[in-house]
Amino acid sequence: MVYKLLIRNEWKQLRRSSMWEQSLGIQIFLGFIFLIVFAELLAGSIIIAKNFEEMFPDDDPVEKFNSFLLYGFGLGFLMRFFMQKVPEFSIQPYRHLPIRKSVLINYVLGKSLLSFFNFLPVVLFTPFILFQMAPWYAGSQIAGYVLGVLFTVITVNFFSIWFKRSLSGNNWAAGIIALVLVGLGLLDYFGLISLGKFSSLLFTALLDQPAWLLLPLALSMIAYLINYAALSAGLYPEENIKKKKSASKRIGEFSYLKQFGVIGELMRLEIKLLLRNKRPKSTLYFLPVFLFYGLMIYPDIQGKEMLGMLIFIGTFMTGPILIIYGQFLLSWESSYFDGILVHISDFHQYFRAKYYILVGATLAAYILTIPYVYFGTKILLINTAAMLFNVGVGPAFILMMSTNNKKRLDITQRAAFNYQGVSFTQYLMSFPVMVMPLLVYLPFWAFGNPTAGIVAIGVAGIIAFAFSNGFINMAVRRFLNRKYLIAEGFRQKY
Amino acid sequence: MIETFDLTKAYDQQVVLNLPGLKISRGESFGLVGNNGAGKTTFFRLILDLIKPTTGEVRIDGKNVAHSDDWKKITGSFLDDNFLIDFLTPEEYFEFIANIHHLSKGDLEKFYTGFETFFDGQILNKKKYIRELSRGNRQKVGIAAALLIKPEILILDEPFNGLDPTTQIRLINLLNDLKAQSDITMLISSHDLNHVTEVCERIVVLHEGEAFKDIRKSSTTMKELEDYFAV
Repeated sequence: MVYKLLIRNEWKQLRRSSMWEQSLGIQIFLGFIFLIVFAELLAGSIIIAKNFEEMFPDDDPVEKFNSFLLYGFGLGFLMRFFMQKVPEFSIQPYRHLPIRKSVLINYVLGKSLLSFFNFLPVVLFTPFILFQMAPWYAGSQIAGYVLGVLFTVITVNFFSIWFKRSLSGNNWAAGIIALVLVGLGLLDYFGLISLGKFSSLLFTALLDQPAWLLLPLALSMIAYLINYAALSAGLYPEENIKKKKSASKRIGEFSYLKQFGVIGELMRLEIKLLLRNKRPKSTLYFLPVFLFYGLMIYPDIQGKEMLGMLIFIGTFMTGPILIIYGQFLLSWESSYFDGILVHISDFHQYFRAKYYILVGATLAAYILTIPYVYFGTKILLINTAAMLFNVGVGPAFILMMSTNNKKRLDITQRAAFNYQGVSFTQYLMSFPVMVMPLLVYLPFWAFGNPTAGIVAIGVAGIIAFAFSNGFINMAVRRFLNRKYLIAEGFRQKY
Repeated sequence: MIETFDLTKAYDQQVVLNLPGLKISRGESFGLVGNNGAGKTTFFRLILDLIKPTTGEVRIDGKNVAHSDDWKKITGSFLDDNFLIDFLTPEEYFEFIANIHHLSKGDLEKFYTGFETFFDGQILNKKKYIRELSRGNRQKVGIAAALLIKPEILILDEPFNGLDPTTQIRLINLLNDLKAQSDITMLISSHDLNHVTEVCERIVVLHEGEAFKDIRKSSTTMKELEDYFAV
């Protein structure tokens, strides 16, 4: 049976993926994070399910719950668009073998059902069904409901795959969907057109009349068949690669950096690296999340004396590049590192270029956070101190720690859920960057002078900046001692 | 020009290279042949200070390559794709190398003219990143970049691999011209005995990390090499 062989290879691929090559410590750490997220989701949905009546006392709980479902599935669609893999590339090695095309297509489509996003609803729905439906509805009614939701999940799964493949990752399309969702939500909110009512009608009907089950069933089959047709028409990978715009249009030249000689040239290279490769680029998409963090927290803690928290947020918002780009410093360049070694004769310049980029990015992030002064001048003061610290101490620390990176990083792959090239070094790097300012602040706070603590954070940054040359030299010395080790690691492709 | 002293490289007690006293003098064209795993790439990496010798050292112009960076200014090299910055276009890559080595715009222009035939219209102004080029064209970019800096020492690992027959012949002519016009020192490894003997005056056969044969090219060289490899 061909399916059995395919599944066996799939299992091997899973077992041998880069995720499992991590050291035990990281596996435990990641497993721990995963458990926490899972537990939070489960606990959250249990709490909501139990207290649903108190939260919406005027409505029938089931009808109210159902009114959220279309929004939920829409959101799921969006998340899948960004994170779910389009699976057909994995069958390329089988295409020349005597295996029927239909087998491969069914296999690929079936495999997509194993996605994490298809199991998420189980966690979200089960508590509600247990607490709010089981006591009042007959088993057959609930069975019809569960099947209806299940088919809807499958429909969303296949439509999102199809959508993603047809657009080959054109992110503007996802933006349009997000806008449509927000727009419908607003219309709902102002009572113009209610998607919620429609949603409620659809899913509540499942409980009353099992025949409604045919609708999601038909939709899921249609979605499957569309995918099937699309795949059998073109199993050729090059058709999925969108026509590239000519390189000249994509190329930002950053020519103004040329005047800074070798350092400027190295900075240009670094910026091109960030903008032209999938993994660093998709990491950069997270930047707004960092910057909007304040918007989520500041209103809540306004007027409260939570300086420690504010310092943490300030560090977080002014140092995102430091963390997300700095953690893989050197590793980003693993694919051409031998070239760097034979061409660069002065590694002080090499590290200084990176230093300037880190400092520049921190300053840029700081400027973007200035409007938060709206929440009080104290916040501006704290963010300034955090910025100074991230300019002085942060880059020095990151440069030093980057010499521990010795795992090859495939920068052409996506970033989300990608553990390739990750090692303990990354955690050792990001964590202290976030915590160090607090450590400076803590003694002053303990002696009852928190303001002095904030000033101390800024002063520590300025002092470190004054000695940046020394820090860079230290990093270079450490690098020269370890360069064979680093280069050897970067040559290991798997 | 290049000398090894007591040079060995071992991985887990397994000696993969042992070249205690090899001398390559200025202007020599040095061909390195040997089967897979004979230590050719290892030797080149040791010269380029990419790996650390287990014992001994390599000196260029009398200076240990591990302790001095002077050799980088006079050495052009291309071993494999790990040398290419593949998200740049070929032009950007050449410009990057030129700027790192402080070459002028005029130098770069001259270089482009000189390599027009070798590139065969496949490399420049294609608006493609290096990673979008075919293997053979990437190889061309790497070789050209090694020559761009007008090196006194040229090190190429398997330069003929992946090149089409026309480009192979052009590369041979290019190297021979270079040899005739300057006193460049060339180190070239190849699986192809014909190519190596066409370019190099001195041939060293590596066998399990040792210099099994060290011969000057003569009319019998080809026969001698074929006898060794036909086992």
